Parts: sequence; structure tokens; C-alpha cells
Amino acid sequence: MTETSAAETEKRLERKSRLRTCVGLAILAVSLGWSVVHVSILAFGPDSDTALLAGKKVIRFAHWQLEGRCVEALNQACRDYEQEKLKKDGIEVVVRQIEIPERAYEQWTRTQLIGRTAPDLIELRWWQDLVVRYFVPLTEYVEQPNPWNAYFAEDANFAELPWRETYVDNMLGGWNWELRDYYGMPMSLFTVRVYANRTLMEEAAGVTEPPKTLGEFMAICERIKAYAAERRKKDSQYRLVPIAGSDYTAHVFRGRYWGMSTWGMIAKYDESCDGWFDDSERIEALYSGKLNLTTEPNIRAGLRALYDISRHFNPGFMAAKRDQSVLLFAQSKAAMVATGTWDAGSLWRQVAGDFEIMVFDFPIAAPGEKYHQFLRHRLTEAGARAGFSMGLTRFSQNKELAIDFMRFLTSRYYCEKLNRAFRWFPAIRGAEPDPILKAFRPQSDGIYGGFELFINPGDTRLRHDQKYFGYMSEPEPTAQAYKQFLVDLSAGRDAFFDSHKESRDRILANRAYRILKGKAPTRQAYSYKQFIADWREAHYDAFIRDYARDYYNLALDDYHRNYQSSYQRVVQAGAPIASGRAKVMRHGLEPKLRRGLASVILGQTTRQIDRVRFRDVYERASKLKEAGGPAGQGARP
Amino acid sequence: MDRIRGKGRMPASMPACMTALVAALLAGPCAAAPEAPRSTKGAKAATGPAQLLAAGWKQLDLVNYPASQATFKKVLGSSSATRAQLAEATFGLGHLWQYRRPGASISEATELYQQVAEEYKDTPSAALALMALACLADTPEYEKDRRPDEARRLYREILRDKPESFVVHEAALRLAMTYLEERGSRKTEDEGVRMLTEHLAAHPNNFLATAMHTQLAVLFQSREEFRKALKHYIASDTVDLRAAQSELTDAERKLPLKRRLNQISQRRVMDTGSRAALYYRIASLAERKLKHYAVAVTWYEKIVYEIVRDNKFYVSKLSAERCRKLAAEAGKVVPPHPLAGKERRP
Repeated sequence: MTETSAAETEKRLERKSRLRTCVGLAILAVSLGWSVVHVSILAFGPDSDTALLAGKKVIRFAHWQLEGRCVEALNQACRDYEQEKLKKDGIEVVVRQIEIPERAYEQWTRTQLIGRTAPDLIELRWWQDLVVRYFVPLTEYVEQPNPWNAYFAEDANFAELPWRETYVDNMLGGWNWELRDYYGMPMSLFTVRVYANRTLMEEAAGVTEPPKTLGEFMAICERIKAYAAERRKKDSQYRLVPIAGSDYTAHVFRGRYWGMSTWGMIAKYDESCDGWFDDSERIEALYSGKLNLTTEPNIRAGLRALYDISRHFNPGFMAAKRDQSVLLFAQSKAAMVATGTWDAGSLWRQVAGDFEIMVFDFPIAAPGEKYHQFLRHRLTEAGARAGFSMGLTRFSQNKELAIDFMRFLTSRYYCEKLNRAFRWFPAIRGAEPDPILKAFRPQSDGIYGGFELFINPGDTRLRHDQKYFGYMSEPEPTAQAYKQFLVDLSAGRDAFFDSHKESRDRILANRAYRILKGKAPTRQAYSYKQFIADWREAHYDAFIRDYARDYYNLALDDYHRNYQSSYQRVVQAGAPIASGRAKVMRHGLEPKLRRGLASVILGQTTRQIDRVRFRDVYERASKLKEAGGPAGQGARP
Repeated sequence: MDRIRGKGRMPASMPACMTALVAALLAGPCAAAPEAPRSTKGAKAATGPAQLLAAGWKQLDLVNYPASQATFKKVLGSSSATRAQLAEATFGLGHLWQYRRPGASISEATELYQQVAEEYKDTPSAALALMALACLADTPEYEKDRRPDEARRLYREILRDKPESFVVHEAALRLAMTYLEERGSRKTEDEGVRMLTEHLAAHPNNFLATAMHTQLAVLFQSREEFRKALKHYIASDTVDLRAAQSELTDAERKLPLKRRLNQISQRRVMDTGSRAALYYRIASLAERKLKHYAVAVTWYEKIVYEIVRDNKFYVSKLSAERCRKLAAEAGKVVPPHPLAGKERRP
């Protein structure tokens, strides 16, 4: 009985297993069948490329700009080009746009390039390895006039300019510094600004004009906070923050104010007189004791100002993403948001008359205001380079046509039209942007950032990001916590230290003690306002001490890694140099080839000699570190 | 279809619809493209060795390694090819083996370069083959494989045996750099300095003079010999400027200064970004290390009026004003830049 039952069970299991296999095979067969039909229709059906494009030239371009109206504007541009090209030169051409989401872009382009199935034009990123191998240098094209400028009846002076000179940045956005050649054809310029909800600003803070100084900006934020608190008393669901925060907007603010505050460090530490406080100088200054992260006033001012500003972001902002902060602003739950031109199109469309947007540059501190000594110059945008840059792939079958298409898009007339549709800033001289972008016009008067708090890439970067996140995002103590602090402190400093091990608490207690010495720890003697001010200082001190110690321990290794990997950049220049030599051998030392070869050799040899400096600095710094380093660097306990 | 077969990804006997399907699946959204990126266009039409060589280089430029290899081999098999053409084809194959990705073979490349250097000594390709061999020894893919002594020997061979070739200047520069890179002993550095100085004295306007002056300037700056450093930084710009000016056409020479500067700028070896960095360094060295405020004004103002679109624009403007005052205090009047007053904004 038991044997029969076991055999039956086995048979049943076998049947089930077979059934599962059959179902699996059936699904596979259906999927395969569907794929065959689908691809066959695409490839050979009446609407297939094969049928539609017979006898026509085809240009394909890929990009990841899926914001706002980009895709539809570019589709229109394709149709316009097809018509104009037929009218102008009698050539039937079809332009196809391939939109790739940003997340998949890297993998997609690499696969297509390696598989040699890439489209004619690809939006470029920072790809040295791919650019040198798969993209066409464009120098000979950029030195010729753009024929579409004459076609669109621009004035003769402009139409005769070389293509390069029609760009506001002389096409430097397409210049590859490593390979010393033009590889990109950019279309737009990008800047970042603060967007404000004018309606809300007037209602909550009583202002209709942008703040002129950092002090005014902070005061407006305070008024908005107070207004929101008032409204919440009547409506507990009401939500309004002065600035829409996210990890992204925090970095936007950081980019501006950190740059402003560290500019002054160049004058102090730039030994090589090149206008930068570069990695080598940083390492040298750090291990010789000249630079002390914990006491450097420019660093303190920058980080403290950023922390003060971030107090006006929504709680938990570091966990939010860019889209969320933009949405918060669009929904009138934040009065301001900091982002770039790239969001202008979407934002204006989203708010669509719900409120008026005003845009302003990041305000600086006026004389007499906090941080004036460090945040008194704006950051310059004189060196802003055009972006949305397309590269021409080497195996494009229609190179001239692809270049012609890009010339069409970057003719003054069409670049204006296209960028107005994008609501981006056109990269071509004289092309007028959409009026809403007036405030985005690049500002030339200003300084530039002098110092970064980590060596990129490396462990210092990783450590910085971890600690900076904590520093910026930790909520401040409530009134309740303040009361508890006073209670704990009244038990005596030693007792307090026994129960509070964190260095920030200790720093805070020491500060409080200095004030409270000889007095009873009461609110009158040590107010909540004073407590918060001290807490912020202690919070900063604890962060920077901790980070300085890590930085001191990690920076030299990061520097060494960069020094070692810099050899690859020297080697990378070998291929274009060899190609340049071969061309000169074949065609003689004619000017363009001579310049090209000389330029890339200059770049490579400069990098070689830079390595010598890296090595010397590394050796000197290693000895200093081994010897225990100078005191006060945070390295010693 | 031809495109796929040409790639060798699947047998030609595969049914057409299956080939199309697999091709589409493999290639993604671009698969339906009717173009044929593996075209051997050019090579098919080319019959003579000269045309084949041109086609081979073109295919190499288009990253079409198999086609290029086949074309160079055709030249080698051609009975009408001259020694120079045979040398060039062999060199082309060496170049191909060195830079093809994937599938590079440095040993194949080395063998072919050596063949050119030894069997075709009398051809222009021989100098290039020697330079390629020297660079393989000097800057191989991995630093641990560097053979500086071998590189020096080959650079010297080029300098001695190929004085008529354009690579002689590169050999001089790279040979000197092998000494400058050692740094350590003053004697070694001086050897590099001597080589560059002698070469520059013999060929002051050679096409790599800018790079040579730059190397000397960097070395002197590291030795804190700021006057010499300044001299060579300025020379690196002057020599580049002179070469660019010499290329202007008569019509371009008559253009207004602003337009003429643009024309010159296009013909410079140094791009505007590098020039802004160089001008700032010259000005800053003059101001901070040598207190030559008049010199500093001149070079800061070059950034303001000639470079314009650079992040150093505003800072240079302020620095030029400051140095102009300091120069005036020292009794020196610095003439304004020819473009001063004609507002140029980034």
C-alpha cells in the first residue's frame, strides 16, 4: 500500500514537472513568435524603415535630454531639417531621434559603439576612452562657415564667420582638453539660479523683488517660516518651507557658496602661481602644517553659511531627490528652489499661471552682514561652456550630412527657435533666449572656487560625503532638548561628560560652561537662542575635527592613487599622437596637421612633467606624515 | 544583411528573416538602419598601391580594423609597390596592431616597426617606426614596463640618423624629458636643459618649440629661478604667436585688431584655455615673485582683452588695475592694451 502510494506520488510529481516544462516552453515559444512577428513588421512591414527610407539618407542621433519639451522640439527640428534640406540642396533625408533615459545612457552608448551599431550622432559625456576611439575630430569642420547662416539670411559678417566663432563660447564646449581637438557640437548654455514664487513671496514675506544681499535672503526665509508657522496654527495641514531642499539643491547651493568662500585660499596657497590651489599644493600645505582644515577661516565660513541656509530647507531634505524639490516648489509648498536652466521649461509649464516665477542669482553678503568677509564676490560664469554637445561617430555613413544637420540646429535662426522651444539658453551669438531666461544670462564679473574639501576620486570623497550628509541633515535640538541639556549640565561637567560621550556635546558643554561659570544654569543666563548658536558652532567643530582627522589619514593615499592613474592619461594621448605623425608623414607638415600634432604633444608632455611634480610632492609629504605630521591637524588624538 | 554578414557574427547561410531578427535583437533601436558601417568603400575602388594606402589609413581612421588590415596586406602583395609604399604599409600594419581594440598586439606591432626600421631605413616610414618603438619603450601601457635606456637609445638614433625627418624635434623633446623627469640630481636636470637649449638654438621655430619652452619654464620655476622661468613662459607664447601670425593671408593681415586676433587664435597650438592659464601664470609670477608690475599688467590684460571668455576674466581685470597702480607708484607707466576702451565682455 505504501509502495503503491509512493509510486503514485512520484508519477504525479513527474506529471507536474512535465507540465511545468511544457508551460515554460509554450511561453518561450509564444514570446519568440511574438518577437519574430514584431521585428519582422518593424523591419519589413509597410511602415518599416526599409520601406519608408528606401533611397533616402538617414541620420540618427541619440541623447538623454528627456526634460520638458526637448523631445517634441527635437522631433519638430528633424522635420524642419528634412524639409529645408530638400528645398536647399534637393536631398531627401530622414532624421531619427533616439531618446535614452539617463540611467541607461552609459551602458547603451558603450554597447552601441563597441558593437558598431551606434547612430551617427551621440550626445557626449566625459568619455576619454570612447571619444578617442569612436568619435571624429571636428577641427576642419569648425573652421568653416556654417552655410545655414547664409541660407537663413543672416548678415554677411556673421554668415562668413567660421562655425566656431558663431558660438558664444567659441565652441569651447565641444573642445576636448585631453585630446586637444574639437569633438562636440553643443547647442545650449546652462546656468543655475534661484527660482522664487513671487506670489507666495509677497504673501508670506511682503517682497516682490529678489533679495539683493545674503542678509536679506535669510531674513525673507525667516519671515516665510514665521508665516508658515502662523498658518499652521489655523490649518494643521498647511505646509510651506522657504526653500525646496533635496540632496541635489543642497549641492547646488554648495557649489555656489563653497566656491565663493574658498576663493580667498588661492592667494594664500597657490605657490605655482597658476591661479589654482590644486591637489599637489593642498597635499604639500596639509602635511607641512600650513593648511589646517579645523582652523581655516574660509572653510569655516563656507560650511557655516551653507548650514545656515539649509535650515530653511524642508526637513529630511537630504533624502529627497531633485524632482521632489522641483515638485514641492511647483505645488507652492516651497517659496524658492535652486536649479538650472534645464528645469526652466518644465517649471514654467508646470506652474502654468498658478503663480508668477521670479529668478535671481545667489545673493552675496553685503558689508556689515554675517560672512561678508568671505562671501562678498559672486562666482563668475565667464568661462561657462556650452552643453548638450553632440559627437559624430567614426562609422557614420553620412558624416557630412550629420554635420550639416548639426549646423542647421546651430545656425543662429534655428538655434534660437530650438532653444526657445526647450526654454534653454542658446549657445550661438545673437540668438535671443526666451524672455523668461533673462535672469539666466551668464554673469562675467566674479571669482571662481579655489578649493575642494576632498580629493576626487578617492576615500576622502567617500568620507566627506558621509560626514557632510550627517552635518547638513541633522535636526537641531528642540526646546525640550535644550531644557534637558541644562538639567544634565547642572549635575556638573564631569557628570555630564560621563553621560555624554559625543565630542559635539563636550564642545557644547565647554562653551556653555564658559558662559555659565559662577552662575546658576538658568534660562536667563543661557538662552535657547544662545544654546542653538553654540550648538551650531559645536556641530560644525565636531564635524570638521572628525573629518580633518580622516582627511589627514586618507588624503595622501588618494593623492598617490591619482598620481599613479595619471600615467594612463599620458598613455591615452599616444594614439592621437601616432595618428598625427602618420598624417604628417603622408601629407607633410602642413599648418593644420602641424598644429594638431604639436598641440597633442604639448598636452602629453605637460602631463608627463606634472607627474614629476606629483611624485616629488608625494615623497616629501610621505616623509612628513611618517614623522608624525605637524600638530593641530586632527591627526593626533 | 550584408552589414551583419560582414561582421562575421553569424553564418551567411542563416535564413534571411532570422538574420534580420537576431540582428535587430543584437543591435537594439539602431538595428533597422540600412547603412553598412563595415563598408570597404574606397578600398574596392582603389587599385594602385598609393590608392590602397590612402584607403587603408582611411579605414583605420574609421576603426574598421579588418578592412584596413586587408588593404595594407594588399599593398604588401602588390608587385608595383615601391619600397616607400611597402614600408608605409608595414608601418600601417604595426600601427594597426598597436592601437586596435580589442585585439591589440604589442609584440606584432614591435616586430613590424622593427622590420620597417631595419629593412626600409631609407624611407620616411623608418623614422616614424623608430619613434613608435621609442614611445613603446618610453610610455608603454603599463608604467612598470618602461625602459628609459632603450627609449634614450632610440631617440638618439633618430637624432643621429634621421635629421631630415620631422620627428627629430619630437625625439629631442622626449630625450630631454627622460632627463627632466628623473629630477633628483642637478646634473641630470642640467643635461635635459642643455639638450633642449641646444635644440632650440639650432631650430628656434621648430613646431615643438612651444612645448620645449614650456618644459624649461616649468623646470626653472620648480628651481625657483623665476626670471628664467618667466623668460621661457613668455617665449612659449611668442613662438606660437609668431608661427600663427606667419600663416595669415594678406587679407587677414588687414583685418581690424579684434578680428585679426581671432584669426591668429585659430592658428595657435595653444588653445584659449591653456593660454589663459599661461598668461595668468606669467602675470602672477611677475607680480608675486619678481614684483615686475608692468609685466604683470600686460599679461593680466591679455586675459581681459584677448582671451575674454575664461573664469579668470574678472580676477585678471582686478589684478591688472592693482598692478597698474603699483607700477605707477614705482614710476612706470604701462601703455593701455590696444583693445582697452573697446569693451569686450564674455
